[in-house]
Amino acid sequence: MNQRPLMVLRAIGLMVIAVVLQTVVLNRFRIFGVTASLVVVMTILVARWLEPRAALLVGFTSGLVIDLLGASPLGLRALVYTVVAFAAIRLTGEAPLRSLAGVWALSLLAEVLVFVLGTLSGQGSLLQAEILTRAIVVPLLNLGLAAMLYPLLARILAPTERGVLA
Amino acid sequence: MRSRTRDNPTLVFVTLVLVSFVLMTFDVQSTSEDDILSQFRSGAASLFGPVQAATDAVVDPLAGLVDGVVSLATLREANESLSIEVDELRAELAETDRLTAEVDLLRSMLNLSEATGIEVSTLPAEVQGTADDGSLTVDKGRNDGVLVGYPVLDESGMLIGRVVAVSDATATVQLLIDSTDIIEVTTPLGMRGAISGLGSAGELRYDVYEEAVPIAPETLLSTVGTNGYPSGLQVAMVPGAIEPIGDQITDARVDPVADFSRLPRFVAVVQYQPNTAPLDDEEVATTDDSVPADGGEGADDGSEGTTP
Repeated sequence: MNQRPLMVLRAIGLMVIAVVLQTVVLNRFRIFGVTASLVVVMTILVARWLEPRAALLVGFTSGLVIDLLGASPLGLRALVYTVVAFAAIRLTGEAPLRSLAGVWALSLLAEVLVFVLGTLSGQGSLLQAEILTRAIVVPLLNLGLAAMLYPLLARILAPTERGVLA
Repeated sequence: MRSRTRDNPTLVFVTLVLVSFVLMTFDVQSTSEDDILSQFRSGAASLFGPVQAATDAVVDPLAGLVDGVVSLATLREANESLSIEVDELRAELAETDRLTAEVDLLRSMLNLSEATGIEVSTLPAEVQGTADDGSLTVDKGRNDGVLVGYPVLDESGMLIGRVVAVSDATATVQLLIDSTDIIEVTTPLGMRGAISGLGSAGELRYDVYEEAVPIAPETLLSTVGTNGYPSGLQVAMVPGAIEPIGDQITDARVDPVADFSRLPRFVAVVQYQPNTAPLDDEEVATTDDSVPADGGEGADDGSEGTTP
């Protein structure tokens, strides 16, 4: 087995863990009524190390699993996470700090897309007071989560980098 | 590291976006619970359910511990906050009770004419202090229509003194027991006499002007309607039977009906305007030495002792 399939398998394993932790652990802890989105963070961060097509597929699959485990329309988060992964591929560079900054911006994008698509599919309303809180708090929580996870992901997905923040 | 130039993901991206839209559209349009998407959901739940359950079994105690620690701190803060709030509310309640009692008292004092059965206009006033000579300072004065000579009642409508000085905002009330003023009184059967203070609490001097008859215990002595006092104000009570010496009763002792053992919080100034002008300070001084000229009426049946 060469390095690429191994990295993809590792990434898939990480995303499965992220989905489980998101649904079982993180959703218990709410700050200002919202929770961090670990799957979004992972989708953005793994795009740094995976091939673009693999990153897109990982993002799409993660979103699809979240949709399957939830009550929102199937494909909603699959679409959002695919867009986020694509933006991560295009916008975030290989510098760790740029990746972390991308987490904040793309988390905000994810929240906006979820609300827009959710509204279009009759799942919510853009007039909800929660939108503003989510748009402010979730990206910050995700940024904190990304700062903690980045070294671990670097160690798992790119052992040669050792997670050093350059 | 990957080569972005060789690996253009746009086509994959567009494909995945289209697939997502199709899935969304299909799911939103779907009304059946047995369609293929529902089966997918069921399958995902079956696949992830055990994993989630196992993770939950591990995480739940830890989460409970964290929740407990967080809740403990939160509960302690809430407890302290609630304790402070309870203390504040108790204080407010006590203040409200006190104010309610004051309002009830003042309301009853405004209706003293009903309590005393005398048509008088009363002005409630709060006692602000007492001087060394026992006189009271009240918070109503000339601006409130208080004049020197006005009688003053306690909360129960019993005569306790009269106004001897007024300023714009306050008035000084000399107590009945400290005053040497002559207050002309009568028994229920009309035997007239005079009462004056002795300067000590609990006792008044009582003299009968006319041919006296024995007076039974607990006989009430009320104002006649002279010397600036309206008729019918209760002043004193005969503590024990008084027997005349010859046909005279002089220098007898009676008890004031008002309670002078405590300082009242409120008094009622009787805005009584006798036919003559209210007494001013000079008149008060004059009145101190005067003895009413009105001889009054004697008891027709030759006895006195009707108690109220």
